[in-house]
Formats: sequence, C-alpha cells, structure tokens
Amino acid sequence: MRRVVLKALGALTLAAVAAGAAAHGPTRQKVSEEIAIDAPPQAVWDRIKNFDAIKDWHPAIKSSPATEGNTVGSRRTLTLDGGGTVLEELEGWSDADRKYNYRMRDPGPIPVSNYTSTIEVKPGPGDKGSLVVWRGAFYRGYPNNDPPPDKNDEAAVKAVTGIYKAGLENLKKLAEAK
Amino acid sequence: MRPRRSARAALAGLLASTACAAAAAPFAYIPCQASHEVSVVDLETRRVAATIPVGRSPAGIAVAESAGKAYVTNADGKSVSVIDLATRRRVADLPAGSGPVGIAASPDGRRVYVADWYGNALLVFDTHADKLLATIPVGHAPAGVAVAPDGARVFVAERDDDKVAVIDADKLAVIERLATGEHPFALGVSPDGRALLALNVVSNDVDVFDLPAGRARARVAVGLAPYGVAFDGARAYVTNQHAASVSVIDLAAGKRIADWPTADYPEGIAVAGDRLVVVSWMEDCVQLLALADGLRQACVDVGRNPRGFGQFLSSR
Repeated sequence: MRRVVLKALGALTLAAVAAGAAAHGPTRQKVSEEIAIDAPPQAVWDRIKNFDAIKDWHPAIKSSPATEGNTVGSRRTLTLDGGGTVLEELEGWSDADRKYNYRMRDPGPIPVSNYTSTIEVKPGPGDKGSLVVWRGAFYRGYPNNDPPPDKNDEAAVKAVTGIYKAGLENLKKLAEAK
Repeated sequence: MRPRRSARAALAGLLASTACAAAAAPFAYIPCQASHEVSVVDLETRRVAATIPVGRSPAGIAVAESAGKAYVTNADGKSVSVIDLATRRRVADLPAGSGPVGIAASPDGRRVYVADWYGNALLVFDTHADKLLATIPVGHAPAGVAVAPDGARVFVAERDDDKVAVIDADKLAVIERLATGEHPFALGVSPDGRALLALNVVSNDVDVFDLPAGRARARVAVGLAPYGVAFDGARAYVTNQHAASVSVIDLAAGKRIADWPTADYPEGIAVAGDRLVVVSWMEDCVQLLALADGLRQACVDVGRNPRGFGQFLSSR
C-alpha cells in the first residue's frame, strides 16, 4: 500500500497546484474510508488525536509539526515521503467525540482544491474494538472545464483514497500490534 | 394542444399560489451529482418514489409547478434537463453554457434563470417553448439564483466578486450590485418578499438585505460554510455544510437563535409542513427534522452525492 501511495504522490509532483485563490469547478467529490481495529476507541484515539501526530501513524508522511497544537486555527505542515509539502489548518477538535476536522490551505502535490476532512474514532460494531472513519470533501486540482487527466475528478479521488487507505491500514497495524 | 396546456398550467398556477407550496408538497426532487439522477423522495412514506436519469453531475433544481416541469442543472453535462412532473421523465436537455449550477424559476413558472459558473452569465429560459431567451453577462463565478415573489427582480450571487447582482426581469439587465461577505454562494428571498439573504461560504455569515430597497440590514454569523436556505414565516434556516448543522435565524431581529445538528455535509434545505427537509451530501440521504425543535426523524437514502441546490419541493 505504501508503495502505491508513494507512486501516486510521486506522479503528482508534476501536477503542482497553483496556490492562491480557491476557485474550483462545481462538482465536489468525496471519499469515505473506514477500518475496524481490534483495540479500544480511547487507545486508538490516543494515537491519532494530536494534530501533529500524523507522522507517527501515516506511512507517507515524514514530519508534521503544528503551530498551535490542537487549538482551532493550528496549522500543520506535512512533509511527504514522495516529496512536497502540504499545509493544513485545524477547524474543529473534540476529545469527547474523538474526532477532529481540518482544511488544506496548500495541497502541495495532491491534485485537489478546497479540501476539507474529518477523522473520527467510534466504538466498533457490538461495542467491540474501534471503527475509524476518515472522510474528505474536495474539488479536483484543475479549477476550470476540461481538466488534463492528472488533475481531473478521478485523479483527485484516487489520490485521496490512496492516502486514506494507507493511513488507516498502518494505524490498524500499529494499534493491533502486541 | 396549446389551449389545453395553458389551461392546465393556469390551474396548476392557481393551486400553487393558493395552497402554501410547502404544506402541500409531499415530494422532494433531489439531484444526485455522482449518480447522475434525480431521486424523487415521497416525504410521507419516506421512500424514493422514482429515480430519473438526467445529464452529468446534476446539482441545481427548480421545480416550476405551474409549468408542470422541473429543471435540473447538469454541471458537467453543460445542460439543463427538463423533467415532466406528470410522468416523472426527462423530456429534454437544453444546452446551458459551460457550467450551469444555480437555478430558479419565476413565480409564474414562465421562466427559469440559470447561472453559468464558467461563462459568467445568467441564462434566461422560456419554459413554454423550453428555449433560451437571453444571456445576461454577470460577475465572476455566478452561483445561487433567487427571484422576488413578484417576479420583477432576479438576484445572482457573484461568488468570486463578493457581490449580488440585481437584475430587472423586464429589461433583462443588471441594475444594481450589493456588497456581501466573502464568497456568497446560495441566495434566498423570504416568501413575503421583504428580505434577501446571501450566504457567504468563506466568511461563514449571512447578509440580510431589506427589499425592495436592497439596503444591508444585518450580517448574521452562522456555522462553517453556509450552503442552503429555507424560510418559514419569521425564520430562516441555513445549512452549515462543514458544521453539520442548521442555524435558525430570526429575520426581524437579524439574529441566530439556535443551531441544530444534522447529518454530515447538509446542503439543500426546504420547509415542508411541520418538517425541515435537509439533504446530506456526505451520507447520501435526505433528512427530516421537526420544524419546531430540530429533532431528527429519519434519513431517507437517495442516490450518490445529493445536492438539492434550489427549490426542490413539488406537490406531485
């Protein structure tokens, strides 16, 4: 999985998205991925709850320092294994609900725009273990009609799906390790 | 053929104007952007009564009951699909610029107005012939469209200019511009025609303008990313896409009086009798909330990525 993501991210470096005005086309895309983990929700939440901790559980992220910890408005800079950086801002954080949500301020090499996301840890089915749900809403990287193939809707969905799957699978591995 | 049709249209118009459209509207026509269809939800049985294939990536809708039709903007199809309400079938696809999104019908059902996002224009269609009447140049990234109850003025959100264009429906020209907060997307006019609301999706607030003067009266802070608006007499209900909530606004006071939780990514919204109908884009369902207190009643599964951007209620 890690290789798939790195490959995807690598291919995207060419498709650097112009930062600046958040203009976008009218068709918003979404990705929703979830994974069941054989560990208590609190233990899983403890691994991911800190906004700057994504480097500890996502295999494609080398570093992720945040400006103001888990305070709304805090900004983290992700340095990707495949090259490039992504800037994200925390928009909501709830220890009680075990979830946080954030927005990309600069997508770097990821071919999306106007990206927002929520990650949440819920009790698993029948109160056994945990269910982690990671969801994102975004537009393709190319803001106008007739996008090139590396910046179209499918490319955006594929990139985000790859990032979520790789992250969740690695989180499961870490959380279930004895 | 012609006289019969207009008699029927007149009758339908009479029904629509006498019965409060909201109270007598048991069906919600919801465009589903990822499954390229309109889900028709029966609000009484809480089931999908019909699924109507339309063009690519439908987002906006305007039910024009007095014309017996609904109009759906296909953002990627660059067209407007026309649905016959009696048969619930698509009867035509009209070319509609390069990125149609927002749409509204005139109260008499004779026209529909379509915002062309990429073309920076408002397209005016005649609903009798289903033909393009006029193309009015407007500002950048025109999104939501609303029409005053008397039909004389049409409002278009110029999202990237932070303005609302006011259009004279007779002259088919922009006559004024109102300054808004950041990135107005959806617009709504209260049923009494006295208030225009502009929902600013970046500054997370709602501008309230007095009509017909167009004077700014209040700027009301709401939740993150306000996206849809509905009215019920003295109140407005605004969906906050990123906050998963509905903000309730007291129009006379110009104040937010409550926030009610909803399913994720609420978008289109309408008042139907004693319920709020809220489209959840993330959950692929249409949620029903009690109008009195926001209590959640049900979420009816529909097609993928439902939007319901516009007037989606119909009595049939």
